[in-house]
Amino acid sequence: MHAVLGTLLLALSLQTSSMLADGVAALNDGDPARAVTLLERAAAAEPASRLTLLHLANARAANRQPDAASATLKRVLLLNPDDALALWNLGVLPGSEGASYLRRLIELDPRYPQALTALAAIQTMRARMQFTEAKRAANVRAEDQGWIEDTTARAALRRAASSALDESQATSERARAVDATAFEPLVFIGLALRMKAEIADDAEASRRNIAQADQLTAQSMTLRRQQRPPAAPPRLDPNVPPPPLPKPGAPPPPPPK
Amino acid sequence: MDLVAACAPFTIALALDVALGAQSLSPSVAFVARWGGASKDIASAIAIDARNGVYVAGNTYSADFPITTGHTANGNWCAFATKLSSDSGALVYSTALCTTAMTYGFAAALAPNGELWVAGSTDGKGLPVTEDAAQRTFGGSSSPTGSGDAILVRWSADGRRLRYATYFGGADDERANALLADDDGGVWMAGTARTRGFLAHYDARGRLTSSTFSTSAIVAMSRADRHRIVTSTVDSLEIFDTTTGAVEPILGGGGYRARAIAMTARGRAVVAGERANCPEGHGREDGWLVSRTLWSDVAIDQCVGGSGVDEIHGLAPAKDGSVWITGLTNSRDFPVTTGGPGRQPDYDTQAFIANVDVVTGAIRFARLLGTDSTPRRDISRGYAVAVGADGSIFATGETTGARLLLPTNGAFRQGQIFESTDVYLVKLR
Repeated sequence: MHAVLGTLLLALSLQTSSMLADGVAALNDGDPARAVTLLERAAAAEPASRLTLLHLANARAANRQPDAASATLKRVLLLNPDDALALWNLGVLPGSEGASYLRRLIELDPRYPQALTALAAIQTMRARMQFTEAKRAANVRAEDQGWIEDTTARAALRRAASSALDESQATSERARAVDATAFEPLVFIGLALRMKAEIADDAEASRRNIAQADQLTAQSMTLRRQQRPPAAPPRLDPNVPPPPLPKPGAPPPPPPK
Repeated sequence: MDLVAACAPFTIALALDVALGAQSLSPSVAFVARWGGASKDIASAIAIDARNGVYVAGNTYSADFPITTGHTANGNWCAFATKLSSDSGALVYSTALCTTAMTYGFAAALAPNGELWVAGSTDGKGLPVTEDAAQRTFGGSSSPTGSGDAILVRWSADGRRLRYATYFGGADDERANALLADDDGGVWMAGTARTRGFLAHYDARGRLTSSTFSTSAIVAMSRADRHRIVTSTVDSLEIFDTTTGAVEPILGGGGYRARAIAMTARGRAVVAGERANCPEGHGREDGWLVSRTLWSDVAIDQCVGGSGVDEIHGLAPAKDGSVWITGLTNSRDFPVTTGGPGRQPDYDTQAFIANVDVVTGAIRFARLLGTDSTPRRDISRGYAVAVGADGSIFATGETTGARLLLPTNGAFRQGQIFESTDVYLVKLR
């Protein structure tokens, strides 16, 4: 009886690992939809396998299913709330909760690679969205980026976005302190300064912010040139977790004048 | 030849021009294609061949930009070229030129053999120059945010191979803004050289046969006739004689910002862009269009737009002597001539396409590109327009979100799922 059960379990385990391997192979072959199907079956057979869940989340992200990927990663956190890779991936997936997962990750490991930069990216983009929404509400054209002369509009924008701008700038400064060679924090600080320039107390203060932001843009471009070109993504291995999902990118530098 | 006979062609043209003004147009959307990746994807230029192909060139920052030719985007700014069927909008090929620096494509022109010339700039070494490149080394950049050197490349007819690639520039910053095919497979390339302009000619084999510099940056150019090119700086218009090298100013005065130029079927030079404080405008910045024949004074000096900000970015001559323009507006009272979706922008910017009679200044057709989505949070901007041999109009630009420009069945459709911008191509017929 035991021998039969053992054989069955072994067969089941082999089948599951085969589905995992096939799913990872499908992703390596550039077929994320098929990878998701295979890995969902593997995860159904082994719902407590961290490795399978991480690969499934990775495949769902590649298949442009961020919500499904997020749900899978939350299952990993049920197994271990401090799982750093799951926290990172949840942090960088599009969605409204990313910042909270990255904050948790930074609490656990303040020097986790790129965590502060990723958090700064999310906070800066959120600040920019709040700022843009506030401009719409104040009847200021979203694309105008000069100093806003209307005192009432400036005050409304400050109420709506100042704290978010301060927060993003502070996180960016921390990221810059941790890694002086990274260009992204400079981009984020520059963006915050440009938004602050629009709501500065007076035109002169606005110009100072813009000048500082221009300087940071130039510095960031210099640092960016010194970076190595991105390496080709490694082939995934079903026996080890997939690499971390890419962090949110910095907004593009403006085209040359 | 007596005076009456000499004036006859112009008289006939004028009569046709006047008759044109009374006509109205009502082209409808034949297809909408839309493509891009997770970051910014922006169209710059458009070209049409006689073999059912429409080409859109521009710039992408998306590492996942759709590419079918084996090349890959790399997350830097990359110049891209996408060819679609001009009948259906279906994808033929999509390719990109990425280097270790920021590489941009701002202008495009077609060679007779179906190869696509694209010109722009790159701010570092790493351009895959070809053996026959006129300049094989990067000249330099005067600042970290500068454009670096102008570039000229030519893709094979299937988009798979870079058949030619060269730098054009010295230690300062240069960028190409305009391209014009000659009659022999070569191109004229014009642009910015620090504070000046340049105009260079490359023959079909990529040899630099001439280059001249002007006092101001050249933003656009068009063929006046076989030997003359009309070039536009931001605020002036000149005629360049390609045989003698002579330059003749024909319009100046400032107060406007030119972006596009075209020669109409009836020999008028039309320049478009934007202008603050238009005499007859009512916005703080209006689209602006001036039309004149090369042998007389200004015929019209027209402002286009409403009470907000309006800009004309693209211009193309129609077969009937009028012009098609595209651009952007946030004027809630933009003078559309057609009902239906997209008839009024919200506070955010929306692309428009319009046809203007260049004699009377009458707007014969104008509509916004997009839907009346709710909530209105999407932006579209029109950058280039072209007219096909059958009179179809192709307009391209960029759009955000997922609601404003909805791709039609059968047209190329590969967009990002996150908020950024995609390239669009709209065909009107």
